Amino acid sequence: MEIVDKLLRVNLSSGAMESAALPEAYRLLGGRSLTSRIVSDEVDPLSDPLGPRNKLVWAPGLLSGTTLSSSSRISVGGKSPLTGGIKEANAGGETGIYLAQAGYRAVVVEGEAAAWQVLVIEADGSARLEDAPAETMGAGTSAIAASLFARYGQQAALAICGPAGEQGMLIAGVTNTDKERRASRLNARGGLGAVMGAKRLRALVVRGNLRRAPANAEPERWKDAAKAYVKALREHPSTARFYPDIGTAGVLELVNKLGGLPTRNFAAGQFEGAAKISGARMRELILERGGEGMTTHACMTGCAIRCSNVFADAQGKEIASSMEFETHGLFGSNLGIDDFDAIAHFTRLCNDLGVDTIETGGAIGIVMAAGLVQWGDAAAVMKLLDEDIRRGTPLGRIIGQGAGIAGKVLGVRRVPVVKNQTISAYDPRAIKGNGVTYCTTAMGADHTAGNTIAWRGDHLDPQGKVALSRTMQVASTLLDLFGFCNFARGLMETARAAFVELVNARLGSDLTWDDLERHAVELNRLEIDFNRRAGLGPATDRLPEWMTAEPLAPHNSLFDVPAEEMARIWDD
Amino acid sequence: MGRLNRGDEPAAGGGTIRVTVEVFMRFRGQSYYRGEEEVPAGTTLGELATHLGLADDEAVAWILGGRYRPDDTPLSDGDEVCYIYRSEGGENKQQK
Repeated sequence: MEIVDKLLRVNLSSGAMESAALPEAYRLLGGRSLTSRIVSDEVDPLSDPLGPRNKLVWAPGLLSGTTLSSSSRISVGGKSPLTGGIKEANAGGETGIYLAQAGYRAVVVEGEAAAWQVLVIEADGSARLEDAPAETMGAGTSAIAASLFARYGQQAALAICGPAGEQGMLIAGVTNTDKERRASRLNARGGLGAVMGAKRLRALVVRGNLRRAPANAEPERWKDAAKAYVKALREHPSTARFYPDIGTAGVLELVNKLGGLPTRNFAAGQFEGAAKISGARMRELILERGGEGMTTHACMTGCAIRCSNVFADAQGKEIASSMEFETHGLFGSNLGIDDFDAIAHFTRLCNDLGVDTIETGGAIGIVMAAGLVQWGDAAAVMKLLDEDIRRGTPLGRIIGQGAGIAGKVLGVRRVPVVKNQTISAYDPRAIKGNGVTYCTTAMGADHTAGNTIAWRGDHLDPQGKVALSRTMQVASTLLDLFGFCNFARGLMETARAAFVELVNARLGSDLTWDDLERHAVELNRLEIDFNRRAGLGPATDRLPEWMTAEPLAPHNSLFDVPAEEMARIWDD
Repeated sequence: MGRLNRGDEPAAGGGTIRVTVEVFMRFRGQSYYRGEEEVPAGTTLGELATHLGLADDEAVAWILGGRYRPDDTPLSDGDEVCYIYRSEGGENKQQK
């Protein structure tokens, strides 16, 4: 059977729309591979990322929309207004599965609208633009979601531009709704929510019934491969036990023990309050409190890993979903805050503003380092989010431009960014493989491009970290291509053949694992080439200088992986 | 406090060391455990993990003094060993 997936192209300036078969050149691409390829092919690297010549591309993975667990992640790509380079931001939630079931491998949004629009895609793939409801202007993502679900029905997935994106803030992401229709799963990184806002696209609404899984070219082959994948998923300790039990927050104690947990604007690598904001403590609190709290929860239909959670207050009423390690790191230890309820409220507010918790936590860390707010002052952080950012006060706008700009405006020299993007909650002086990833991926400081934390070796030793980062970057690129969650990475070792078979069964291809790895390397080179053409030279592929000179407690470590070695990471 | 005998070798006072063990998972009836173990001098990190019943769990990592160390690293008196779940997928058994 020939597989015909489609590409939807929408021009917001003219209102023109075209739905057509995916070009043959893109047949084997999905997720990040497809967003980056389209951006590289169609966006002038010198274009203004917030101008009409930039494009915003949505792409589910190659295997998205199927019944496979954890396979329906959604990639959003474009030129980043935060880094100035190519960007792909990845999210869970329902957008990926709905879009894939509507038959789309990609949606390309071009131009900019004169008035705020909603792009509606029906289950049969037909699409139209409608004026955004007036009540969504200036509203939080929860209120926007409520308005759009009321208007378009409950059987839909939403990708929303929230109030931060509406104000052009570079901390803004694209907010997706989860299975229970919470606006809570973000394509967070790189300021792509500001691109959506600049285009005046309020939301993508994808309607459907979740009963139209994409066809596979070879159904029998698919059945066998799917069986092998599910078996591996059920047996692997990460996917069978770790993530369902304590979610991503479970990694906090590990990073703290290894001395890499950002503490008070990356001034130390261990936080005295780590036990209070750990994954284990989170689980205990959720179980103690009961009510609406859930220790395990699926953010998308069909996910068996269920790393998400719902955190409730002492009365059992939901505060936020989902509590994640990066938020605990950047809004907890990085700000000197060890109050779980406060971090839950920050999560809720960030979801409602539609902002990246890493970039926002990093920027607030700069505000604290500048002495404008005391370390550990949770009430002040709440005000920064709910008043300053939401209303766009001068301080809110400074934070809204991210840690790099905040550092320049406030005169703080120690700013933890690579390509102007805040470093994730793994300090690269202690987790050196991640430092290599931050420097060498085209995406800026983004752990999701190749996280090395699971490697059971000495993370302080600079030896071998370039090779380790490359291995993890290749794996992450492939997971993004497939549409799988990053937490399926362990299965690539135990069930590698199943991954290859799934792709081949879906597409009717005969790719090998080597083919896939080669593709991942080529994609990374393509993305770097875009950055070079955008003016991001090799000098931007490095950590801030102070991370090579200021020792990090408790190991007094510096980042010391040789730059010349990193520069050769994508050589054969 | 736990005690490890190595084979038939008696764990005599002069031939033993004490290490602090921290376990970030359910262990000995507690969700978080911290305690001391007395082990024969020369006991390695891997042998201690076996003694504690944690060596066979692929999901568990052990950290000595804030760093991953190879299995055959000998322990010293006063060492702190931490047992904790790894995460983020990704197998790599280079040092285990």
